[in-house]
Amino acid sequence: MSLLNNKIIIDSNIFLDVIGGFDNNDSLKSKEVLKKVEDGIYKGIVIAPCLTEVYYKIADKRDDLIAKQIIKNILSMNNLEIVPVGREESLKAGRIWSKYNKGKKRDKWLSIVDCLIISIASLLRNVPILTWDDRFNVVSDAKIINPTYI
Amino acid sequence: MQGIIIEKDRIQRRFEDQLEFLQLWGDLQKKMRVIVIKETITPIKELNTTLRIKSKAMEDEFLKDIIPIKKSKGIVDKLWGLGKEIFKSREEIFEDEFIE
Repeated sequence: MSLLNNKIIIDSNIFLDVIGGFDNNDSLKSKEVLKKVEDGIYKGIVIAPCLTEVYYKIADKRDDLIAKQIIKNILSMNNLEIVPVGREESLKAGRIWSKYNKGKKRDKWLSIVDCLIISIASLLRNVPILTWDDRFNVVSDAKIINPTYI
Repeated sequence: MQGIIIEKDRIQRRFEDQLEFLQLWGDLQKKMRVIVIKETITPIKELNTTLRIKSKAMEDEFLKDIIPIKKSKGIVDKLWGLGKEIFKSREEIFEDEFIE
C-alpha cells in the first residue's frame, strides 16, 4: 500500500504484539511493519500516551524495571518520532470521544488514547493509523489501516 | 533550567540521615537553580517542600535513566519476544481493555 509521505501513526497494540513475540502470522506482520519503519521505508509516529499504555501493560503484568527497559528500546528505535499531546490535540480528542462513544455500550468505546491518536492523525492532515483494534473501524476522521493490508 | 526556592537549614534538620540529605542536595543543584532563603512560612509548607524536592529528584532520576542517548537499528529484533513470559497469549493483549 502506498502511503502519503510514507508516514504512519502506530498504535500501542503493534508494539505489544512484537513484545509478545507470538508465533503467528499477525504478530510477524507487526514485526515486519516495525522493521520497515526502522529501515526507513515508513516514517513511524507514536503519540506519547501510547508509551504510557505500553509501559503500564508491562508494569502491570510484570514490573517497572522491564517496562522501563522496553520503553527505552522503543525510544531508541530508528526513524520513530514521538509526538507530544498539547491543548489543541486534547480538546479535539474530547470532541472525538463524544462523537464516537456517546450513547454506545462501554465495551464499544474508543479509549481516551484512541481518541488522541485520531485527533493527532487528523491534525497531521490524515496520516493513517496502523492498528489491530477493530473499534477504530467506525472512525471517519482518519484513515485506519489494518497491518494485514500494508 | 528550572529553579526552586528552598530553606535549606530547616529542611536539612528534618533528615535523620544527613548523608541522604547531602546526596539529594548535590543532585538537586546539578539539575536546577537553587535559591536558598532563611525564612519558612509554616512548618507544614516546609515539609511539603521537602517532599516535593524528594519526588522531583526521584522523577528526574527515573527519566534520566529512561531517555535513550541515540537512535539505532536492530531494536525491533531486540523487542521481539521480550515479553514472551509476560503475556500468555496474543489475545491477552487485545482482550484486556486499555484504561479508559
